[in-house]
Amino acid sequence: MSTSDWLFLILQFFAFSFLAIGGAMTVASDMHRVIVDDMGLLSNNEFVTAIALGKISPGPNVMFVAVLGYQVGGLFGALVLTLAIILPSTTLAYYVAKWGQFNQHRKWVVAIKAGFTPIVVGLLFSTGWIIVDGFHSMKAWILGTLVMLLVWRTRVHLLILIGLGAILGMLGIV
Amino acid sequence: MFSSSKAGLSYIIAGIVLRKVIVLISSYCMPSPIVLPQNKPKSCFEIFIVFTLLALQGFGGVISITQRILVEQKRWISQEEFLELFSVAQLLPGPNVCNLSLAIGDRFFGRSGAFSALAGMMVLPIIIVLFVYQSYGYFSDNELVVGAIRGMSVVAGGMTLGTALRLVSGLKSGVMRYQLLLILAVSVFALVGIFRIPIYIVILLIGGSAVIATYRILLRRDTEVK
Repeated sequence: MSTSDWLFLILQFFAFSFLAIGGAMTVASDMHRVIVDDMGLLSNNEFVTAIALGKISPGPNVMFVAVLGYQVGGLFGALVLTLAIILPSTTLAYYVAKWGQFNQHRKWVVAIKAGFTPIVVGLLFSTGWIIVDGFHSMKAWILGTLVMLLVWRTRVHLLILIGLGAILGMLGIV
Repeated sequence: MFSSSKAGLSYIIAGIVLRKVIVLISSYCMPSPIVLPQNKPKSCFEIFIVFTLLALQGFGGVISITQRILVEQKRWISQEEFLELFSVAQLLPGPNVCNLSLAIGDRFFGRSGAFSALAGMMVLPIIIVLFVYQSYGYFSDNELVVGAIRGMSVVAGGMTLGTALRLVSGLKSGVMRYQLLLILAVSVFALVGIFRIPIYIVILLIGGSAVIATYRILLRRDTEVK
């Protein structure tokens, strides 16, 4: 891939970084458009694999971008694209958080923080709902609800639940 | 005589084992205490290690484990603070968990704390995901692996639901009435989760009006005080 292609891709990812409200997954379809449809760097299958790996490996879901970068240009690509998607948004987040702390007693800042808390709870619940609903199966809903109740009401270690999920999945129960 | 003492001994052992099992189970089933004394990380290195461990335990979303460990086990921040920082992290663009790590790290050691937290969240997971990618060809057809991943994803979804419900207790310190906050949360869920309306529209409409309403309450309180 030529230097200008890299620059173009990096600039695109800078833009995605600023647009990714609600997480990197929200701009996945735009990335697909650029990388698969416009530039033809990866096949649809490769792109979908990257998304799946981001979901199953430990750590933030944004790791799928590292896989995309690796597929496009090896270790260099992985590093460059990950930095391109992370740096702009985190820099912005850092300075906004600083600003908020500096002005924490201003009414607007208090209002923004307090006003958005219910939105965040609703969004988080939606995220979980969309994941469980995506399996389109009654069994997934039963297991999901059970886990929800356990996490909500008890202090069961989360890795125990993950392990249980893996076993149930292997047995083909879920 | 001998056999009865043997039977007695085995009863005692069985009793001890049973007791241990019950204590173990009930220790997991205790409801979480709500107000806890606060702790602090000792160094940036501790932040890096803790966030690395968080990232490694976070399958299908790190937020559940982050809330559990930082708020309830380490007690670095309270439930309310967590909710506040998380709401800012979610409003701003970029991976939520990265933004959240940054804000929490910054709270303790400024810029270097923020960097340590973000690095902890990213470095090892990147190495792991690339290793997984390298070996993906070998296991992508394996039915057991595919099944395990499926089961783990369902559990991750359920964990996210449970964490959201746990965070509801952090809503109580808000300016608006608790019932109103709950109604807002439920309506956001209905719009995003069920009707799949784009997040930014919901943030703009419901979030915006919630902020304006909160602001007006704060203004009114001010004039009442005067």
